[in-house]
Amino acid sequence: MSELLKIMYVDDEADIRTIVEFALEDEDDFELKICASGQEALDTVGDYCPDFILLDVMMPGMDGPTTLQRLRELPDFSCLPVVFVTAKVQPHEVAHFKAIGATDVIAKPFDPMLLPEQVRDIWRSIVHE
Amino acid sequence: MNENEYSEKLAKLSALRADFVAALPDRISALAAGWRAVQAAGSWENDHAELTRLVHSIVGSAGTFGYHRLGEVARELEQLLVWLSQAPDGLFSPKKTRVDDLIGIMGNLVLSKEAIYWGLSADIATNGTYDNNNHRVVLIEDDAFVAEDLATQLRMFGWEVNAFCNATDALSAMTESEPPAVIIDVMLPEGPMAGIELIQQFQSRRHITIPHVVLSSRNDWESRLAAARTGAAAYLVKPVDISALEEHLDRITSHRSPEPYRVLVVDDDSLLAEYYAGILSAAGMDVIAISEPCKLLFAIAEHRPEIILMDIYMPECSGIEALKVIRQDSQFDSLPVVFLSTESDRSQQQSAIRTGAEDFLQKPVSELDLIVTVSVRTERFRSLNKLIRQDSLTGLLNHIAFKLRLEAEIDRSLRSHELLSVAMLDIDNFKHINDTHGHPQGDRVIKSLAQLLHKRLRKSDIIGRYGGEEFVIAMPTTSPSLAVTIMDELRDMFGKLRFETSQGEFVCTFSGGVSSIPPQVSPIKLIKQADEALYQAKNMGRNRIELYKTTEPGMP
Repeated sequence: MSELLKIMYVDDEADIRTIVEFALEDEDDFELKICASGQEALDTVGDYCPDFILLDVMMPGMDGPTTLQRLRELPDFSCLPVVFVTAKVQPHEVAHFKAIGATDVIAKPFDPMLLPEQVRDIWRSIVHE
Repeated sequence: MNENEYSEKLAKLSALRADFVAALPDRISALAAGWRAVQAAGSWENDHAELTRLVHSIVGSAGTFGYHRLGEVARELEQLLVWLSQAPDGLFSPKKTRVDDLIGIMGNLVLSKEAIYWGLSADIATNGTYDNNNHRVVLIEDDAFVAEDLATQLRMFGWEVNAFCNATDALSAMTESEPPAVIIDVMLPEGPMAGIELIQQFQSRRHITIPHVVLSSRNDWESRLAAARTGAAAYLVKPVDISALEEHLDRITSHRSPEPYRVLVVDDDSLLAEYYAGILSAAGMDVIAISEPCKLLFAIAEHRPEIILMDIYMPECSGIEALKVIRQDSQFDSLPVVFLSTESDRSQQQSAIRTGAEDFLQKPVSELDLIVTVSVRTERFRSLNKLIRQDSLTGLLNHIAFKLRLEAEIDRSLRSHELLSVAMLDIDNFKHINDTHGHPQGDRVIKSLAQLLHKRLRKSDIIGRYGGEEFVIAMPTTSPSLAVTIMDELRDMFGKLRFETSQGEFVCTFSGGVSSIPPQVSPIKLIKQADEALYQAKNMGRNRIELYKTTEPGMP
């Protein structure tokens, strides 16, 4: 993977933002933009133009699925890959998230040391499709 | 990522974890305060959002930092709060007492710092409540320095210690809640034999025997006899040998029921097979029955029986032939097989015994005979097996037994696409300990480390003594970084244990190496890599844990 992968991460939890930043910031093939809410993500996505978005599901105010829906309404981002990050990983829930337009799901809790590889795996599968 | 970057990354992760852990007590207090406010107000209005946010934040982050159990409890609390806030009259529901329970559990997990170990255990996590009661002990010791020291060291072995400095306070606390075990000094502020008198008084008032260990600076017949009369499990002269104390506590508080015997019944008459299985199951055994001998090997692999009960006459093949097939695999050499038959011919029985049968039961077999024969044979198999598999000094698995278990565990992890980490530990400068303090002290050090590992790791972790002062641990469903973190905490604890000798005390450390699957899948290579990482740790100055790294860049 030679080109730079632009990732946007959206989560209201400061702890998780810190650990995701820690997990992904030192990877030479990643560029990371972190947002603290769905609204912030929608406001900045046009300027940042990420290759894909990692999106927390449970957020106060605008939750993950709503953020996704709003994003899909924006003309340039109707196909942008969005991966949900969530503690709920029952198979039927994964199916539900995919049905409403998520590309994939990363389960919480994740191992921060393994997150970069998990992200690359998902990106590879997106590219190959 | 190269080696240095990877080490730096791990160090940074530890620092982040430390920050998270440091903030936890305040978060739990805020949670408890928020809940009290909701109850006091009798409404959710003002405090609901804040309370939910506090809980949700712990749900999200705890697991990622390795505190899985804490995350699970927080998640249950979050769901319960949602339910209570939505249900009409939720604040008056009896379910609300569960909120206090859950906040209490979270507080204990944070205090005990055990979350990282216990939390990972799937059986405990799904069980919901982890009962730590058996690890509670009351310590009554008037010398504050000794009390603090013992309490600190016992806590490292996972004991929850409640310390008192006089008999009066201790008695009232014990009356309120009877502890599973007591450690008591003979001499207390109330008198030269106040410790013994306290136990006497407590026991006679309640008509019970409380498990207790007596500590004393007196080594005379009179006080030893007094302790024996109260039924003391041990009498330890100060300075106290912590590993001896720990062993006694362990013995007097463990009421673990033995695992049920695993039995395989083979009879071509499926009704009869079920009948025998029914009798043995009713006697508390774990039994499966099959009626086709061709399924035997599969059943053995799946059920891992400790004894086989087999009909001698079967149409497809005889029991004796089936036994010969079983014995073709050398790992089943010692597996006891008891034949069942209507055959009363002595020579036929002898031929069965010659084939390697353990015993011969004549049909019709009485229920009692069946149960007694199977129990006795299985018990003997177990104790022999223990001798073969266990290291005699530490009770851990020996080298060969560990490798066999590791192979099975690797297969299982690959099948279920799970991680598995292996850690190799070696006590630093062990030869020096033996030379300076003598071999008995060296053995004590080895036993203490074995106990620490046994106490602090999960039931599902496989611990072996690999040789001399070398230990090896297989940790299923554990990522390399978590394995390093856990081993590092154990390293820290072990370094704080002090070993008393007549010439004073000394401390020891260990070094460790960790490797994982994937990418490595062969048990031999996995152990070799952990060993190389251990070597690395030794080279880098000992008393540290290193993770195995391949020489290829970018591969952790």
